[in-house]
Amino acid sequence: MNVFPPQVWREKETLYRLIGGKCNCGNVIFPYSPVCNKCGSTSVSKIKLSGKGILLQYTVTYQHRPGFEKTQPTYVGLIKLQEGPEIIAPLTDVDEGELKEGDKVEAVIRRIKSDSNNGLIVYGTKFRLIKDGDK
Amino acid sequence: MKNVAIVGTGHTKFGVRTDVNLQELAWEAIKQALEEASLDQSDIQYFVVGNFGNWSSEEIPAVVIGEYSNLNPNGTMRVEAACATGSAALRDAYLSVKSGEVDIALAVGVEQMHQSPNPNTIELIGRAGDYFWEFQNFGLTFPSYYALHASAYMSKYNVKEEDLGNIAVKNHYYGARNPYAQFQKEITMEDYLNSRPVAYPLRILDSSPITDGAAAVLLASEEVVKRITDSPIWITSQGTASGTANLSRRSDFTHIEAAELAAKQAYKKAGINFETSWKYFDVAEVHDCFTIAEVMAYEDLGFAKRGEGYQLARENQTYIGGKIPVNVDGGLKAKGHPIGATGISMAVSITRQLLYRSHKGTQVDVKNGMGLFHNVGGTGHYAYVTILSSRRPSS
Ligand SMILES: [Zn+2]
Repeated sequence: MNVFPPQVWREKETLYRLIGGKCNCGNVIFPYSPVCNKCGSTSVSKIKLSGKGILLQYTVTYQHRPGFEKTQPTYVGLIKLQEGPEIIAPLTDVDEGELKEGDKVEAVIRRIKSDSNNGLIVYGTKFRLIKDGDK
Repeated sequence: MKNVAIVGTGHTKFGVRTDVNLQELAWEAIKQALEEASLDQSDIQYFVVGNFGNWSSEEIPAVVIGEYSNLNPNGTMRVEAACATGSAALRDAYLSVKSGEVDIALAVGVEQMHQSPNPNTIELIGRAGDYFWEFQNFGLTFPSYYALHASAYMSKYNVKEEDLGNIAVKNHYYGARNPYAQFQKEITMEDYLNSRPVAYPLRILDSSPITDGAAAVLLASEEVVKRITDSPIWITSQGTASGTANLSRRSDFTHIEAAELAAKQAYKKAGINFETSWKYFDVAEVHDCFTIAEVMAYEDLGFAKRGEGYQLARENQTYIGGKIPVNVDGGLKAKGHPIGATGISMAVSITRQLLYRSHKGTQVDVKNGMGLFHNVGGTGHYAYVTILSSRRPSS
C-alpha cells in the first residue's frame, strides 16, 4: 500500500474540509468542480459544506481490499447533505443493524489508511450517526 | 451509409482460462468466426480489440493479437468502455463498415481476469468510477455501487430478496444448458438465500463472477454479404450514452439513466415504440452483472413499467415461452463476465438465436426475427443498446 503525498495534498480541500462548489443557478456540487453539472455555467464559487445530512441508503461491503483490512466490513452511505447534493461516503462508528434510512449523520475526520512501508497516515472524511441526546 | 451484417461468430468457453495466453484465447474466437463465414485473414480490412486489461500481462493487446492471428498489417486499436468494452469494439467495427471505409471488419473482445490474484482484480474493478473520492478515500468496491442501487430500488418498490433471487435462479437454469458457460449448474432459491453477503443487500449469488473468455464477430457491408452467406444477421441500430463518473453526481439510484437513453436512441432509429418494445423482440441479452441490474434493465428497455420489472421475473415472463426471454444463455451471472468480451458474447448469442443455432434447451421461438442486447459499463458510466435482425434494414 503506497501513499503518494502530492495526491493527498492537492485534494486536501475535498478530503478534509468538504469544500464544494455553488453555481449562480443555485446548484451545489461536491466534490468541487469549476463547471456546473446542472446548467454548464463556469460561475461556480467555492463553499464549505456543513457536513450535516440525512442517510438515504446504505450498503455493507464484505469484500477484502488491501490496505483496508482493519475497517472490514465497510459501511457506505448515500447521504443527502443539508446543502442539497447527494453523495456517497463511508460511515464510521456504526454497528450492524443500527442504520436506517432517514438517520441524521455528520462528517468527522478519521484515519483512512496508512502506508505499510513508510508509516504515512492518510486521513479523510467519514460520516457518523447523530444519536438522540447529541445535539 | 451502408447496411452492415454479422456474417460470422466465434465464442470460447468462459471460465478460468489460465490454460492459454491472451492472444491464444482471442484466436479461439477469431478462428471460429472465420470458419463460420468461410473467410480468411486476408479478407479482413480492419480489426478492433475490446479489452479492459488492467489485470492482464499485455499492455498493447491489439497488436499482440493481430500478430498471433495473422491480421497484420491491417489497422487496429484496442478500445475501452469498462464492462461495455465489447459493445464499444463492435461499434467501432460497425461504423467503419457502415461509413464505407472498409467492407469487412472484425471485432474481438477478450479478457483474462485470472491473470491477477482476486484481491488485485477486485481492487482494479473498484477503481472504475471516480477514483479520487470514492476509491482512494474509502475503498468502495464495485459491488457496493450496485448494492446502493439494490437498496434504493428495494425500498422504493417494496421488493423482497427473493425477487432478486428469481433472476439468479433463471440465469443459472440456462447457464446449466450452455456448454460455454462458467457455471453450468442450476441453483435453488434456498441456495440463493443461504449464499454469503458481498455488499448488503447483494450476495455472492447476485454477482457475476471473475471470468476469462473471448468472443468475435465478423461484419460485412451489404455489397459483399451475398458472397459470404445467405443468412446474415443485420445490425438494425445501436444507441449509446454515458453517465457521470462520480456517483455523487447522480440523482436516481433506481434505474440506469444512460441505458434508458441508449435504448430510446436505438428504438427511434429502428421505429420501435418504447412502451411496447418487448413485442418486437424474440429474445434479449441484458447486462446482469448483478441481479438488480437485470431488473432495472427490464424497465430501462421498456419491457416493464418503472417499479414493475421484478414482477416480470416473479411471473417467469423472461424464461423461454414468456413475454420476452432474457439472458437465456445464462447471462453474465452464470455464463460469466469477461469484461471486454461480454458485449460481443451478447452479439454472438443473439445472432445464433435468430439463426436457430443456440444450444439445446436455450433456443427461443423466432417469430419476429429480431433481438437486442444491452451492455452497461460501470453503473451506467457507459451504455450501449444494439438491435439485431434477420431482416435487412430498409435504408
Ligand atoms: Zn448552474
